[in-house]
Amino acid sequence: MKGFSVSKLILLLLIAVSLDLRAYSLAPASFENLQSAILTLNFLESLPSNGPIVVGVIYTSDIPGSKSIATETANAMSAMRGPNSRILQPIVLSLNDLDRFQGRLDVIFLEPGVSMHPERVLVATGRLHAVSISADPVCMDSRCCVLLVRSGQQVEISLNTSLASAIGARFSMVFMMVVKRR
Amino acid sequence: MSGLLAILLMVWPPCLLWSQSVDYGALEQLFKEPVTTSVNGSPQRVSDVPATMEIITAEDIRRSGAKDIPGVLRHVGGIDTLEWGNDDIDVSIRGYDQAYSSRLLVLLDGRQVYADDYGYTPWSTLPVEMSAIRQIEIIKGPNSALFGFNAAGGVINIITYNPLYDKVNTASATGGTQDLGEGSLVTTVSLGRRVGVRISAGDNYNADFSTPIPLSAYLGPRQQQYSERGDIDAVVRLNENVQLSFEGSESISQQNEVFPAYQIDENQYHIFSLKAQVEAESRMGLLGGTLYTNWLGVTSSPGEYGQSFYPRNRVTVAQAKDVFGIGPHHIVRVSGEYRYNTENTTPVSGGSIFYNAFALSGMWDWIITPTVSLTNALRIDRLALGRDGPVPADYPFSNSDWNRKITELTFNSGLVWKARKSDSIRLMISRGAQLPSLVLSGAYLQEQPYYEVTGSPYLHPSVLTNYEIGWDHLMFRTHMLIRGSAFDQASASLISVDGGAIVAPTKIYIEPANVGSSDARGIELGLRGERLKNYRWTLDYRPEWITDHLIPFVQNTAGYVDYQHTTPVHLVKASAGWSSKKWEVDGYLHYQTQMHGLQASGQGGSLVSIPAYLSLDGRIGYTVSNRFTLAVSGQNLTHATQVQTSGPAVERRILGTVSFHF
Repeated sequence: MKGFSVSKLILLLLIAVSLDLRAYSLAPASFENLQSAILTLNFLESLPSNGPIVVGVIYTSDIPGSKSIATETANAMSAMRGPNSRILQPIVLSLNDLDRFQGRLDVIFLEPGVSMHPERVLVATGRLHAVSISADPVCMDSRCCVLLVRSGQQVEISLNTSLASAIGARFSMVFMMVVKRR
Repeated sequence: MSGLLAILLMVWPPCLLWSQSVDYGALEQLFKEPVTTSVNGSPQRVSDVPATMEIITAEDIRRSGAKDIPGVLRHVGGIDTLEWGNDDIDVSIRGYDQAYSSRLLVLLDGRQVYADDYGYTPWSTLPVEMSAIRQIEIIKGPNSALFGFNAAGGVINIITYNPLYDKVNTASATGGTQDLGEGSLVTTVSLGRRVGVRISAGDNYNADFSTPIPLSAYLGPRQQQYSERGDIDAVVRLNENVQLSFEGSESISQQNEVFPAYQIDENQYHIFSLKAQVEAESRMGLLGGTLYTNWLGVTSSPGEYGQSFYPRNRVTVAQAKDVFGIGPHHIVRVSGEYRYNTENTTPVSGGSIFYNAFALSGMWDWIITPTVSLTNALRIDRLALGRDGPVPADYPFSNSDWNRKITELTFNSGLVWKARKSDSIRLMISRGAQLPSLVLSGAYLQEQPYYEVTGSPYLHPSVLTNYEIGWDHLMFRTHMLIRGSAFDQASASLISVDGGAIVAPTKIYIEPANVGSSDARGIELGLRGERLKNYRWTLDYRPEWITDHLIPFVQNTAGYVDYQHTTPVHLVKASAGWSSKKWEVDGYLHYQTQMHGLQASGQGGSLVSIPAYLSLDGRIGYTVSNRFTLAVSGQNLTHATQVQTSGPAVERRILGTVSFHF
């Protein structure tokens, strides 16, 4: 086999990667993000086993229009089903509302911008023992969400194991091995 | 078996917290890509695995229109098939295909289903219905560090639906050319939320091809072929912590086969297997224990010189493993395996060849950075070979010659770098080993008019070393995947069925031997159209160059060994499909350049030219209702007959299938 060598091919492959044939940076597909976030609940073993799953959809008033986005999210969520076809019961709350919230929340879904206030989110999740999920990558950097779930070119899921442990959230081990743990 | 289960349950750690075996369906739905445990033993997304891997989904299987698993595999890039007959297809990965192809490890839900007598896979004996298969996982290159011997050229792991999570209820009937008739039934029964049982059964018959058998391969007329199979698979969730599963299967079949001396005889198989498995999650990690036994009985006739063969093989395997995480960046697997394998001598009866093998293996998956991970797996096998029973007069061996121990170290090392969200690069080095089959290790013992034939106790495992780089690139909003890999393989201690001779005082014995080495270099390039609404397509191209280095005794194919000329240099596969709510239309092209095939001759083997060929398979499916589906499919559609091997030409096949989902 004349002219062929693995080293030449490796070089060609590396060049092709660096040329970036067509790089797409996807805009976050919020519905897909939401769908993936709900699917992660299949692996949340500490979730109460009966009744509707109560999800707080949290927005921050700092960002104009965020309440309407949260409302849209809640509406979309109402049409979805959780593990074992359980009903999802979304509640739209501002961050200020969350600070004072006394009811039951199983999950809190953080809209973009909320993660700019990590201390307040952490206090609320600790107090309510609710699993925080967001598609906003800031949440993982600011360590205020248990799960980062983004459905872009590939589904990206990161799990903050120490926060999960702190609020008593327990995921199946298979799930923990497949996601990125931080 | 029940004793071992009792022991497993007694010693099970009391600190179990929660349990969930791999629910492939839920994970695939979440990640929008298949999840596998076949590469390093821990669950992984396909995009993360440090191996070149293909996954054939249930949809791919349905839309292939194939009547059997080799028919599905032949559409996959980099897979070689030799179709000798309607039910006799040899499959290999990256070339090196031959009659009774033995470089491939085939598993059904982790249980080996290749026939251990020769180490090959008689596909029609597999006790699985096509509609019960969730996915077929194909790992290219050696993977012995996880699976042990025989995972030398690659692994095909057939994963069925889990009856606890997946309810499959399908009945189908197929009829077609070559007088083919087939019935298949799969039903799943749930007993509460803790028990799921899947029962499947199938029956098929056909008249094989009617194309002439080359004189060199002719031992007699071909027989009617049939296969009857049944399987019961039960999964019991003992509590939230532990799952127990049982499988029992039986298959009876008859098929015409090209055996390693490149002649066609008729084989009747009776295979029976029992398996028990326990899985649990605990503070100690994902724990698993498996125990199974396969019984294989074969009757080969007319055999050589009118002597039929009656190999009876039994293999028992016990495995235990623990997969656990250490901090957020390390996953470790430790496992142990015991294997007992035995087979009688045939056609000269009275003796038996056996071995006990112990193996320890470990895997360490290190997530070095969010974009770079390194996986290292190591396995050591220690095998003790033996023989008992009488030996023929003037036999050149005594039973003590089999008192040998073989130690083999195998490893897999893979680095995955996710350079960008759209790019993933893999660097891999691996070493695999292929154990000499029991037949070649001495179970084959025949007296012939001019010489005797025997297996040999002194064969070494064939060792394969693989260096590989792979690259995946997603384009057009994930709608297109470019996949490339380059591999450089070295196979040492190749085994030939009659590569040696021993001159005893009154007889000459022909015996198998290690006969040299072979090198292969190749590239695999693939394009996939993915996640498109109504369309799907693939294009795969594999150029591969093989160079054999054989000892003089077996050069010029004298020992039925030739990989250099019998692997096509250029192999192209392409597919295109369209679907709507009611219709599915798919086509599959296969093209390979001219190569040679081995055929029997007075010198042990000779080469015959096989012209380049293009073949077309296709399927049209129509969904009548949610319950009824009709499909027409065909293989080798472009020609009534076509030469694809050194055996009989293949014939065009047309099949019609009615499926009922209940």
